[in-house]
Amino acid sequence: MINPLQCELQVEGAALFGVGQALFEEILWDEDGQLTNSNLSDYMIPSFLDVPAMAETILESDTNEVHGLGETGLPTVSPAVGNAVSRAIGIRLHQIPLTPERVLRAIQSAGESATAAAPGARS
Amino acid sequence: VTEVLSFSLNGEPREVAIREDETLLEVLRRTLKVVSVRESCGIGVCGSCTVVVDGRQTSSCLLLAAQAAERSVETLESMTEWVGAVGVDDGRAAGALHPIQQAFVEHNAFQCSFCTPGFLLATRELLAESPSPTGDEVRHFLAGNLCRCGSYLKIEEAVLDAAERLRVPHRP
Repeated sequence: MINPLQCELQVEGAALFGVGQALFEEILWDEDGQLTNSNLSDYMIPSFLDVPAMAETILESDTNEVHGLGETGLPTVSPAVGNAVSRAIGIRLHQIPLTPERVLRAIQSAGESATAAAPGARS
Repeated sequence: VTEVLSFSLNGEPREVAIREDETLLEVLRRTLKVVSVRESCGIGVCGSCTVVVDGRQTSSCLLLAAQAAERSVETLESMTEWVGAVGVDDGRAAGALHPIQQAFVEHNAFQCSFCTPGFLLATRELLAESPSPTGDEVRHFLAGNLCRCGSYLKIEEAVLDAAERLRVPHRP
């Protein structure tokens, strides 16, 4: 590593970027194609209070290939959070961010289809 | 319509012509060329344009310049007389950095550094109120400053280290 501290920062920052993507970052358009959350109070990005405990390990190889290091920590976060939610509620969501609203709707619609499948059950 | 704004900037009395609808941020940046004050969100949620007005941190994007009349306004430059860029030899020792700035440099508590002036000013206010903060206190106090690069962990380390430097002033 040429700059170990900067490598750590890239990985930490990228993982936090992933937290935002997995949990709340989403550009929303209305029916007329107007952007509805074009500012930082409606489009949330991770703050100090969203930082989870993190530990990064950077492995170096002996090859002579030189690589840039950028956003390496990002891609794994959404699948990890998706797996955790799936394990918790028993339903696999296929769209990020996994907002509270999206998770609640998934639970409700699973409940409704279970109710519909059971004749005589009260709705 | 213009009027003359009279206020104190980093301890020095200033008089500057302003438009009535200009924000303090605009006057600092465009008229007075104090470019450490930075606009990001423009609606007071990100902390990039933080200045200190009468001792309290304030979003300069939300304050009309006229509201600063006869008040004390401090920017990042109030932390040190050292105004050159990091690593630039302008004839003054890098040791002239404020201990909080020095801690941020040593912990590399930034990537793009756009948010850094706001974090530094917020940290100075935190450590004035609470000289020995816990990590949790740091996180809550600085929750109003956003860092898109996500350098928060290094910022927390730097703030805790800066607290120690300020408690033990003779530490190099």
